[in-house]
This record gives sequence, C-alpha cells and structure tokens, in this order.
Amino acid sequence: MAIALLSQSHWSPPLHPDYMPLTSGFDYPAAAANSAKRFRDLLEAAPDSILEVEPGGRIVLCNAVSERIFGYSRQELQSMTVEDLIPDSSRGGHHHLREAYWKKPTLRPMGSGRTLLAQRRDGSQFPVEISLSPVQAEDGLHVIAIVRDATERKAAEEQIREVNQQLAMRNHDVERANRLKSEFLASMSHELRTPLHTIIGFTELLAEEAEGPLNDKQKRFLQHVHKDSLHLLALINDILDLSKIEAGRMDLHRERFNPKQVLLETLTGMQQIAAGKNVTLEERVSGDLHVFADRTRFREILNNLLSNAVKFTPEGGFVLVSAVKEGRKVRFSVRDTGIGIAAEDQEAIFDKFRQVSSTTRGVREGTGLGLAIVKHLVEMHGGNIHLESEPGQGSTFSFTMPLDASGGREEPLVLIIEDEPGGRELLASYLNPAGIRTEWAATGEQGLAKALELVPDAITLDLLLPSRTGWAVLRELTSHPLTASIPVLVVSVLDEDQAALDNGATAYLRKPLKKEALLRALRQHVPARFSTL
Amino acid sequence: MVEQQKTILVVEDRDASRELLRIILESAGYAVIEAVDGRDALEIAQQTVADLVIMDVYMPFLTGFEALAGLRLLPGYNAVPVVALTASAMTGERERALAAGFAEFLTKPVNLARLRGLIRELLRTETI
Repeated sequence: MAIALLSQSHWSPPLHPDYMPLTSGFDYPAAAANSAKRFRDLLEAAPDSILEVEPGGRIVLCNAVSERIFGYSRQELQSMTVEDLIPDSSRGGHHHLREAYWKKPTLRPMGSGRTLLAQRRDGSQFPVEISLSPVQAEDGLHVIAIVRDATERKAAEEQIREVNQQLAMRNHDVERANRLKSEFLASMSHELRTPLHTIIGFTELLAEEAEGPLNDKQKRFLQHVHKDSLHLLALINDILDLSKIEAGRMDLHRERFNPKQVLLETLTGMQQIAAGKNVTLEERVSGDLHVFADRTRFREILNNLLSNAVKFTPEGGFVLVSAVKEGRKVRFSVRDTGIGIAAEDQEAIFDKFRQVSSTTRGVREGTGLGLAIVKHLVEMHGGNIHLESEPGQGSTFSFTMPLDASGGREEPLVLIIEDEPGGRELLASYLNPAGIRTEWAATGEQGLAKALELVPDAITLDLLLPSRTGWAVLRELTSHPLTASIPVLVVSVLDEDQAALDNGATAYLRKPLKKEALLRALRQHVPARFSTL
Repeated sequence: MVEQQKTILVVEDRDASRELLRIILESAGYAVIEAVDGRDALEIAQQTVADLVIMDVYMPFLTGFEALAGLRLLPGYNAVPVVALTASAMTGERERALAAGFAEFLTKPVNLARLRGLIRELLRTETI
C-alpha cells in the first residue's frame, strides 16, 4: 500500500550515489528500484511523522506515522496543506513563517523555546516538536518537516513538575514538623528545669546549714540528692542539644580561628580536676594551624573528650592533645593512659545512652550522650571521629576539622557538579581566568562528598546526573548544616526554574550558559567572594 | 546596720521558687517583697520603689517583658535594675532579654553563688 501511495506522488526519490557501485555491467533500473525501496523502508521505519512540503505549503509526501498522529489517511494528507494540521488559532500567521523559512532555508528546529501545537482530524490538539530541513526536488526547493508527537514527553515533564511540587510541599511539611518538634523541646526543657531549680536551690540552702546544723548522715543524704539533681540537669541539657542536632536545628557558625587558643582555654578549665587526680595535661599543637569551624562547637568537642579522658585516667596518668595536618583537614587526637576500651565495646561507645559497662567500672557520672553529641558535631563539620584503644593501655580519640589553609585571602572556590567532561571544562574555562579555583565532581554522590570536604564558596549543579539526581543532591546540599549556606547555582537544559528555586537553589542558569551570565550570577549571589570579578 | 537595708522585689508565680529566692535574699541581708505575677508586681511597685527586681520571664497575665515595660513607666523605676530569671534554654533568649532592657539574664536552676554575687554587684553600682 505504501508503495502504491508513493507512486501517486509526482516525485521519485533521487538516487544516492552510495547506492550505485561503479562496476561495469551495472543494472541501473534494478539499482534504482532497489534504492527506491530502501528509501521507502527508511521513511516508514522512522518513529516520527515525516512530511515533505512544497513551497506553496502542500504536502507531497508523508509516512505511516503521519497518518497515525494526525488521524488522516495518506491520500487525504497528500491533498492538504500544512496549515490544515495547525490549530485554528495559530493557522493565520503560518504562511508568513513558511515564507520566512525560504529566505534562509537551513536545518533547524521550529519555534524553539515554545510549545508547538498540532491539530488532529477530530479537532483535538497535541504538542509537537518540529525540525525543518530543505531538500532539492524536481520543481525546486521543498522542505522536509519531521514532526514528533511530544504528548508523552510533555506528560512526563508535567509529571516531573508535579513530583517536584509535591517534594517542595513535603519539604515544607518536614520543616513545619521540625519546628514543632523544637518548640516542643523548648517547652519540655522549660518544664523540666523549672522544678529542678527549686530542688537544687533548696538542697544547696540546706547544705549551707543556714537553717540549722546537719549531722553527717543528713549531709550525705543531701549530697546524693544534689549530685543526682545536677546529673538530671546535665541529661536534660544534653538531650536538648542532641534533639536540636537531630532535628537539624543546630546551625554552625563557621569562622577561621586558631584551635590552639581554644585548646589552651579548655585545658585551663580542666586543670583543677586533673591536678586533683594528679593527672598531667599536655598539648603538642602548632600555633600556626588554623581551622574553619564553629568555635563554640569545637570547644564543646574538646571539652567532652578531655573531661572523659581525665575521668577515666587513674592517678598519676597523663592526657596528651596533639594535632596533625591531614590533606585539607586537621586531625586532633586526645590520648590518655586510662583504663582503655575493649574492642567489642568500641563501636557502641558513640551510641546514645551507651556507657560501656566494662569500661565505666567505678565511674558512673556522665549522661551517656556526650560522645553521641561529639560524633554529630564532628560529622556536621564534614569530619570523622575514631577511637583506638586497648584495655589497660589507654585510649586515643581522634577527630578531624576542616583546615583553613587560606591565610584568610584565598581565591574563591567553585565546585562544579556535572557528569559531562565537556560541560565541566567549559565552566572551568569561564571561571579560572577570572581567578576562581574550580573543583569538580562527576556524580551526585561525589558532589556531596566534595561539598562537605571543601566547603566551596559556590556550587554549580547539573540536574541530570548519574547515580543520584541533581534534585536529591540539591535537597541534601541545602539541608546539611555544613553546606546549607553555600549558594547553589543550578545549570541545566531543563525547564525547571521554579522547582529548583523551591528546592533551595540560589539561582537557575539555563544551558547553553554564557560566561558573562555565570560570572554575573556569582557576583550577584555571592558578593562577599566574587564582587571583584 | 550602717547602711540602709536594700529592698528587692521578687516576681515569680511558682510558690516554691518564690520562697527559695526569698530565703536566699533574706539570708544575704536584703528585705524582700513578693509578687505572684506581673500584674501584682505593677500594683506593688506603685506603692514601693524597690532597689532591684528579680522577675521570672514566663508568668500568667503579663510576661516578664511586658511587666518590665510597665515598670519603666512607674515613678522611681526608670533606672532600677531588673534581672530576668527563666528556665528557658533556647538560644537567642538571653540576647532578646538584654536588648529589652533587663540588667542580667539568669537561667534556672540558678547558681546560688552567682545570684548572690550578681545582686551585690548590681546594688553596689546603684549606690555609687
């Protein structure tokens, strides 16, 4: 049938030179027939509608897909003009476009950036993508229009948009739940501390014997009450801290500072207890090191590890704090000559409420939350914490903090998350000449890891990534305390500006991206680091 | 007594806490007037000008912030130091209290030595 219909066309396909082997005794009619058949097979095998249109707009050739998507028979189509396939509303202007095409007949997509609509026989409309190319026919220049039914793609895009919207809404719900949780915690903490205030206060008043003398037994009882109410208070404070961390409501205020200074202050505060046990406190930390971290939280980490070390180190022992550079991090170690921790208990020691029984023998104070909090605080800084210990041989807790090697004046750093090497190089070639350092990651996983490790001044993020979608990366980046404040510039071919901004992107840049647009976005959104570009 | 006894107005809705403060302060040699909430405090303050006020932040009827604003409008109270006392441990609360004009911000459970030291200091500054 296809052959019969094709023969109704005035035009037969030109023979391609490739189909004509230049051998003697060549059978031209047979070769021509063979070539025509291959051409028709090709035409019919195409997944898109193919229409050949003469300068007047009349359709002179079409394929089976054209029949299917427009709902006309081939005979009908070949007696129609392309305007008949255009919705009534936009039909009027089409002949102008057609005439304009003839002025510059090149291969190009039609109506780039806009959604084109076509009309079926039954009047219904559907989205299409059209690419046009000129072709030389017997009676002059024709145009081949390849028309793709974009219904499914548009539906898929719509679906993505909906899912993104749902995700944004869910994000919103999660945030609300988090806020309620922290409000609950605030009021819980208030309610618990209020009665503790009078319990501790009256206990202290009685112990001062202002209201009359106490015998030794009464004093001892009061000491028990006092000690346990202070323990309860510490527990409430730690739970509040941990809950804040777990609800993602603890923000880091990172700055460049000298850790030795904080360490010396912490050691001074610890000196009295250590001296009481005849435990020597020592530090071997270079005064030249600088870290980029939250000073208060760093102090909290040191305080916790040091007070543990002193607590579990017997009379006459020593506690040593040292620090070494480890790539872009500084590893701090707190070593003691204490009772040590058995291998089977080492994993559990960072768990909440786990005080390993064999190791805390005889030492029962502490909330069991300190190390869990320390681990969280270290990880919020993109670091890790390790324990090396043997029973009887002491313990070494070591943790990393981001090194600040900048001297305070480093050139800004942009992390490029993009799977295509060409895309990465293009962005780097825009940025490097402007004095901006670049690092890159080819997958979402890698991107997240590098963002945590490097804490760059800005991140460019492609949305179409292997392993983890750009959306997931975007959400993780904007919710992790260490990266939440880093501006994320989404660079994508997709049409997802709003969804990206809803999901926390700082700006949305469309590919193909021009150098000036990228630099302008950096200047605008990260003025502190890029204003001099 | 050489010096005239100083008077402290304690504003606290919880009986136990109010008594605790009274005992701590009286044993340190101060005269104590008690108010059970912010409204009560404003009524008492109209008759008596205290040398210092210690006030819970969360109370029925008037919060500590509102009571402080009310006190400042009363004759004699424009410069009396007012110490906020609260069991709340939320970040930012202290800054908010100091910005509102509280002289100091103490959290419950209160440290006896710190409370005594603070009051001594605030009242000494007053007499100079």
